[in-house]
Amino acid sequence: MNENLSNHLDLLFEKAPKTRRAFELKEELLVNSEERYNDLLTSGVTPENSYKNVINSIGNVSELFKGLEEMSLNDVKEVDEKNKKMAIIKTAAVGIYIFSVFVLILFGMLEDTLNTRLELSLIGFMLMILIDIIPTCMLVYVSSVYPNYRKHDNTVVENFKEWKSETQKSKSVKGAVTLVLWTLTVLLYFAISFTTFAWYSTWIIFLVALCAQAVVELLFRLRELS
Amino acid sequence: MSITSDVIRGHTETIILAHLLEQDSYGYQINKDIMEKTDHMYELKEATLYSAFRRLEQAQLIVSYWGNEDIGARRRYYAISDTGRAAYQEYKKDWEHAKIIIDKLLR
Repeated sequence: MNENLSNHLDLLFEKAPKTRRAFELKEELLVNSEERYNDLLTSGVTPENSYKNVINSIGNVSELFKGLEEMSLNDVKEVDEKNKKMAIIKTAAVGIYIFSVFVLILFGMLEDTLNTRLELSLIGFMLMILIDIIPTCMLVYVSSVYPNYRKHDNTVVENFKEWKSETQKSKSVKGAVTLVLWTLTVLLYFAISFTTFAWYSTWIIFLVALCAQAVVELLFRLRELS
Repeated sequence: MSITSDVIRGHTETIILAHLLEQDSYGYQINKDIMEKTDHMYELKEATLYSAFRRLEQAQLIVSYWGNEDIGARRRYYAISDTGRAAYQEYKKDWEHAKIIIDKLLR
């Protein structure tokens, strides 16, 4: 009997959207129908009549499916709003990055024109790093707070497929970028060190590379999100 | 039956809220309560019941959670939220108002 009921529901749900909500609804219907069937049996109704009663009491499921679609439409609206917020934060972060570079250039120019003994370009560099903390925090926040909402059809299988293909692709690209970044860093380190002989300060390039690595990490995570 | 059930169907959501005011419940339990309270004069179709659940949930008047039954499949329970309680009082007031008007008009 349970199999009959389950098969009947499978048939009813053939036209339902293949979403997690639809599966949950089917499970809910099945459990409740089984309980009704068992109650009817214990009250003395014959199995055939009980089954008929249960099937009859389910009613017209097409109105239910409409509800499921309405929900997904609303989800889309919600996603759009989140995406908009994310875009605003990202844009602001990029703006601050550009501003920090501007600060660096400004201080470099000031040093050239003012001719002071102060190392203005170094101060500019420090300021740039300090300013860059803000947009970096913003981007980290965005990437951790907003999970991936983009899918319209949230079947478990679809989710898994998408996740798998994306992680594989972005992993290989990210690996290549990282390799190039660190190779260049080492080359630059030796090149600058041998030309300037400023070994006491050239190691800073590795810190910069570390920052660059963090930015690469972020960019990939953001791309996964959008 | 047809007019009565149409009128009642318009109040499905309020009826569900009224049941959830007493305690958390699940689909069949609510329907069974309705049958018992009305001496089997009225019962909801599952489809009507579940689409009402979805609407209420979307409006955040109720919340749902999966029960952890020891035997058999799990049930989906529903609980009324604070907004749900407030909405119920509103509906109730509306209904009392409508009842007075209809009583006056259909004498």
